[in-house]
Amino acid sequence: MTTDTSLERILSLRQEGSGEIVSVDEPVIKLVIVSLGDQWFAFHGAQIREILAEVPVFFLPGCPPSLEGVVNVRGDIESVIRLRPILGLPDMPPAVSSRILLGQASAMRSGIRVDRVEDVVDIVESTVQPPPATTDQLRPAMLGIFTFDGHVVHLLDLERILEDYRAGLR
Amino acid sequence: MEIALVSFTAAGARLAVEASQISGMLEADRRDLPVTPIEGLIGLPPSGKGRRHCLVLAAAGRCIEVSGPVGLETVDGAVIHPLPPLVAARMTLAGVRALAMAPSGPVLILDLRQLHHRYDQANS
Repeated sequence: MTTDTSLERILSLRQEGSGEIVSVDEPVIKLVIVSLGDQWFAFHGAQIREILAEVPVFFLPGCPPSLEGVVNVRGDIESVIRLRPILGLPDMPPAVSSRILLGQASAMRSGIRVDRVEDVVDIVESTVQPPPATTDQLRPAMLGIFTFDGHVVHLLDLERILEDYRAGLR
Repeated sequence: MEIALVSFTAAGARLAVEASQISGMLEADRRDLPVTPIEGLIGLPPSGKGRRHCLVLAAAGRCIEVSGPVGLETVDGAVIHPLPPLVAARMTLAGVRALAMAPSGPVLILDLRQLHHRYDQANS
């Protein structure tokens, strides 16, 4: 009779004290995947407090075009920035599928206009690869790259994007 | 807590100042004090033609010219908000201190005390 089951092997290792039990579960991260045209991007889910659909955005004079205005989120006033021009993509008026992510970095919060929210997923952290060494202007704002649903997805650094935007660098 | 605001428009934007910063209002054609259009003071483009009013700044003997409607209203402090950080960092208008969220949209609240030196430059 064979006793080579996982349980038996674990118990055996315990009795022998001959090795550590290694979890085969890899760490996963929650990501909010969005698209701008045919390009896909992601933010860490922990930094996205809410996804807003049909909420009026109020224009403010004296702001750059990439700062769409402000929204009233249950009594809190939040700015709304447009991700397209911030990432150097051609700006377009919001489509019906457009959404506003309410992003939270350590020092500030802001709405972020995207064309579309594609999915909110848990993915294995090790599938995110370092950003490619290109001279693309996206690179400073990228944490990594991975594929999802047949698309290359750029994982964005929200902290860096908001800080750069505040400093006028984007 | 409530706050009294004098509200007006300039270049299509709705603006307001604390009523305590204003001592009165004159019709634009009856003024005898130096007058500076609010648009140039804070960095808005000139307003189109229309009736203009002069708000007399308290304790300064100066006037700013604004477009109507001019109103005096008492606003609940709950609708007054600081500028969101990205707006505060990137807005190019001078002297904007806060936002009041009216049902029709935000009203920019100015602190005219911050603009006195610009007023002096504009009238020198």
